[in-house]
Amino acid sequence: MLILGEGEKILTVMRKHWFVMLRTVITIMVLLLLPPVVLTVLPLAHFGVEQVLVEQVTNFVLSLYVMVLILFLFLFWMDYFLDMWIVTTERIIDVTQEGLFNRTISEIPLSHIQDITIEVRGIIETFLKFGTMRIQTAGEREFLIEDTPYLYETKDIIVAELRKKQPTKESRDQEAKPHE
Amino acid sequence: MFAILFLIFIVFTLVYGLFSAAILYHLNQYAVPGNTQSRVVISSFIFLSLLFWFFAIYFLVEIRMAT
Repeated sequence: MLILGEGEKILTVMRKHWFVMLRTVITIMVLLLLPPVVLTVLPLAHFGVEQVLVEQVTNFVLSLYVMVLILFLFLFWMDYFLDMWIVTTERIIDVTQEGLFNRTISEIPLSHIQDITIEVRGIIETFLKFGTMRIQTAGEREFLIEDTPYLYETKDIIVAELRKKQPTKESRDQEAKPHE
Repeated sequence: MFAILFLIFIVFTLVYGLFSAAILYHLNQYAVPGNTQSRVVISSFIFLSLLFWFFAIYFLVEIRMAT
């Protein structure tokens, strides 16, 4: 569960682009085409038992088969939905969900960010407007936000938040004044 | 025939229920607060699962009648 600090607000939540999900969705759609094919071919086959019974058993098995596909699709969607990057007023949180039992959470404070690089590679990423954001932090590992849309908007949000946190010229001058 | 299919159905329902409960628990526990997208998907999943579960029961009863 995400617990925010005092005064901390979520600025944006980033998830992977829908294109990343496409391969699995197509696979499930193809697998969903199997029941109509079986129901079409089955009346042509003879198993030496009553045809009505064969049809009922087939319908029963196909119902369970569709339930398995629904469960698999739901599991994959959960994986996609919980795999996210959360930008708050204080930090960036990287939540990686792999299946049901593997979950990794890492975070960097916004104050540690030194450089943000956006990479959009290839024709698909260019047309569908998604890519990778590399965040360089002070003396720490590189933070990667991969295959996500709205990269430029998110970068602007982070930069605006960083500017808010930077001390203004007046406050710097105030601090630099010797105490009398 | 019916007894075997009934046993398969019971085991399937238990495993399916277990996995569904685990996914729903994860979504309730780890989703970002205030997100409505998950509610729509969860409702659709429960509706479709129940629909095909009742279909399976219906066909199981039909098999019982046929044997």
